Amino acid sequence: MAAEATDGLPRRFLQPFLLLSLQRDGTSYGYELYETVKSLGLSVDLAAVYRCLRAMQQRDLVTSQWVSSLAGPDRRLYSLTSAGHDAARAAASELAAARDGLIAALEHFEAQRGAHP
Amino acid sequence: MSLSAASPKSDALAALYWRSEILQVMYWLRGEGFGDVVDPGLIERFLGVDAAIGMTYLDRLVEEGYLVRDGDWFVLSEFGLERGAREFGEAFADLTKPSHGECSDDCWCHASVDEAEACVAQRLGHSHGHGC
Repeated sequence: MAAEATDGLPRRFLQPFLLLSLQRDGTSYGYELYETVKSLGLSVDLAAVYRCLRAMQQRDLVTSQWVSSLAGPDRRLYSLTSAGHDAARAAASELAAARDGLIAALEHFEAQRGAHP
Repeated sequence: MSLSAASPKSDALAALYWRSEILQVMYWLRGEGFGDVVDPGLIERFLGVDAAIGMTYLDRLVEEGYLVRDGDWFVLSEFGLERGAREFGEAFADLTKPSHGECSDDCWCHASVDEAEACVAQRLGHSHGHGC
């Protein structure tokens, strides 16, 4: 049977990826965050990123400010709050645990397939 | 109808809330280089408000002078740009700082008795909550 095509990583990774992106970069504009999570293989649209950032702001994980620009319209610049930094560390741990769990599961099934070809 | 769980329940506050939300999306999209034109479908995708409901608020913003309608599209007016930018820094500071997972200090229900009753009724019906 041919492998099933995927649309990228599940959307539930959006918030962890946004947290970790902001942790790495310090501050980011919305579209930069969208480009980052897309480049990581996440299957989301711009509206999902906007809504997630709003939800994160409501939960006090991120803060944002309008930044004036002489060259164009004002832009919204996002950064992590103290709670957001805590959440980013937790997200990193959860992603690492998920990675280890997936690797262990794959090795288990690979070993079973080897034993029962 | 699927208004956001954070949206207020009375018509007057709902109108203020959605005015702020719609203008914020439009400012955000404009700042990110996507122009300043929206339609009800885009409002639905970004804010989770049904397109039909979003249309009524878009029309209201046209009446108030924030937006100009061009066929099926809505664009920020000069007034909307100037007034909106100022209001975001001042009057909307509290209104744009929504709620909640549980009813909290900044819940809309603290605005009036009617809001409090509506919030209780809504919470008995289903829980608030945000996620992404």
